[in-house]
Amino acid sequence: MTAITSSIDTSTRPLLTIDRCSLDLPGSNGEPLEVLRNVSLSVNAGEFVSIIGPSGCGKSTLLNIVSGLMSPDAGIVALHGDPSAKRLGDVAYMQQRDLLMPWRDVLDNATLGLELNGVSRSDRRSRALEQLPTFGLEGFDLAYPSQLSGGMRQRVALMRTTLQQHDLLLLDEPFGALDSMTRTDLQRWLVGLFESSDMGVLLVTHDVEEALILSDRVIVMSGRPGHNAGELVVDLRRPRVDTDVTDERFIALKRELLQMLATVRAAI
Amino acid sequence: MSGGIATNDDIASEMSHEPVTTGSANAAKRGTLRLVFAFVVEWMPSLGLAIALFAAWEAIVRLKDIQRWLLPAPSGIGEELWSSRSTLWSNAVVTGEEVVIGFGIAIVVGIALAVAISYSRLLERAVYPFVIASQTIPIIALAPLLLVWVGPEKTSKIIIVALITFFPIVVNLVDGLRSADRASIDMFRTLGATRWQIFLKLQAPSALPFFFSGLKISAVFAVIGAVIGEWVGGSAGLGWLMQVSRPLFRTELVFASIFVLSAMAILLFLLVVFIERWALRHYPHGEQI
Repeated sequence: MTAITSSIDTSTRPLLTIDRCSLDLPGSNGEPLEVLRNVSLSVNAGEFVSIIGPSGCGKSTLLNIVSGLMSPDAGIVALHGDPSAKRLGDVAYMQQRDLLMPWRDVLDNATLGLELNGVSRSDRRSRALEQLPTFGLEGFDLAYPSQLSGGMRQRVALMRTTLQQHDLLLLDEPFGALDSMTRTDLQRWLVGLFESSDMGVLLVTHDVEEALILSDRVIVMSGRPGHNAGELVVDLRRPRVDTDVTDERFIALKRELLQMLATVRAAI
Repeated sequence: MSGGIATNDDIASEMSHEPVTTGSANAAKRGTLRLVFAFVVEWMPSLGLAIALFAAWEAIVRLKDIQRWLLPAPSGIGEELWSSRSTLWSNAVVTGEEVVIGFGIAIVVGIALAVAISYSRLLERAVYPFVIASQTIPIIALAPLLLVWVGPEKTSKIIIVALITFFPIVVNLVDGLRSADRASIDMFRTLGATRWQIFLKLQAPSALPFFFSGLKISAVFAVIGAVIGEWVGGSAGLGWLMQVSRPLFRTELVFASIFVLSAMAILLFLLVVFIERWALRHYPHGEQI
């Protein structure tokens, strides 16, 4: 079995494959609640894919499955084409809240993943200090979370998530709690970070513009139970640091995506 | 006077604003000094109230001409505190030793029990009812029995102190160890943490504010426990001193003993508060008292 898997050239396989995943969770009335039904998608190395859909369509649950926190009742989740690959601890996952620990300074929060995996303190520090400017946190290594703005806290959380350099990054509405100006800044910044790396990203969002600015493809999901409702290829050129949201092509894509979402909402 | 208070408030409010950027070790040292100063400023109002109450007490005793064996005036108690200082001191040392050892045992046993209870559902179901049951036993009834079992020396008092003080520590710490939210635990799991790492680096630090809440309650109970133990039998300690002074109508010595006992309890409480302030200095303010 292992021989067959290893003979396949993994570079031609998608980084992440989700194939017809379904999941029931216990509902509030004790009845099982169908959360996901036959959801399929894939993310290639170096590709940015967004999932957009109404609240309660199981987007976050899907990320919990991909991260390895949960298992689907049916269907396959494969990394590099390998359905038996360990995911928990090997996929970078940033949840909605920053979840910074108030008793740790920026450096110790950011290097938590390295610490848990036995990287020595001096190694951790040098790797983190090197990355601080990229995350706009230069000079804040010894600051505590209570001294930081919301946008900075979110960047520390993102640094914690990416410092282990896994090739797949999951983002669950990472900028949802921020004000719109900070959010726009961070979206631009994330585009730059992504374009200078070779990781694959799967982002869950509510925000149509966010999905378009960041993604190569947008998957539209419908709710109750969550299932695939459409896909949009975002053919805007990269780099996207200065993407003009009033540009004709952008507006056309936005209109198309909004129409898809309207159809999805009407169907619920 | 009011000007002085305003200045203190200004200093206090200035001190609550930590610099946004970080500093050197020198700044950290200055921060600790500020912490000490803020502490002193904060307790000024209660010190003022204490002085006012003692003054009122003194006035009432003098004006109503109350007998000193019935209710001595603060000045008389003060004189007694000075003249009997060596007796009070030697007995305070005995009580203090019982308090410190008993409290120490309670902390160690309390932490062990709380960790066991929060670690396993089975241990929780087995042990927790006994922890609660231990507090339903009236200590005042148990104390004479303990005296018979282990003798009138310090051991029986230490056991009583430990028995009274371990409960708030266990109950608060169990709650604290469960206070880490699901999302944070999930975050640790996605970073590849083991169960032990989650306990050590997430659940234990999250429990710290709860632990100190328990410790503060226990610090006050500890002195009461030692006095109960000495009250029912023994040959030394402030509880014993009160017990032998009362029939001799040396009410001033009873009050002097009470004063020293209160001072001990307050000192122990403040010590816990001060360690708490230091340990939780970066925690959100809502979790500090």
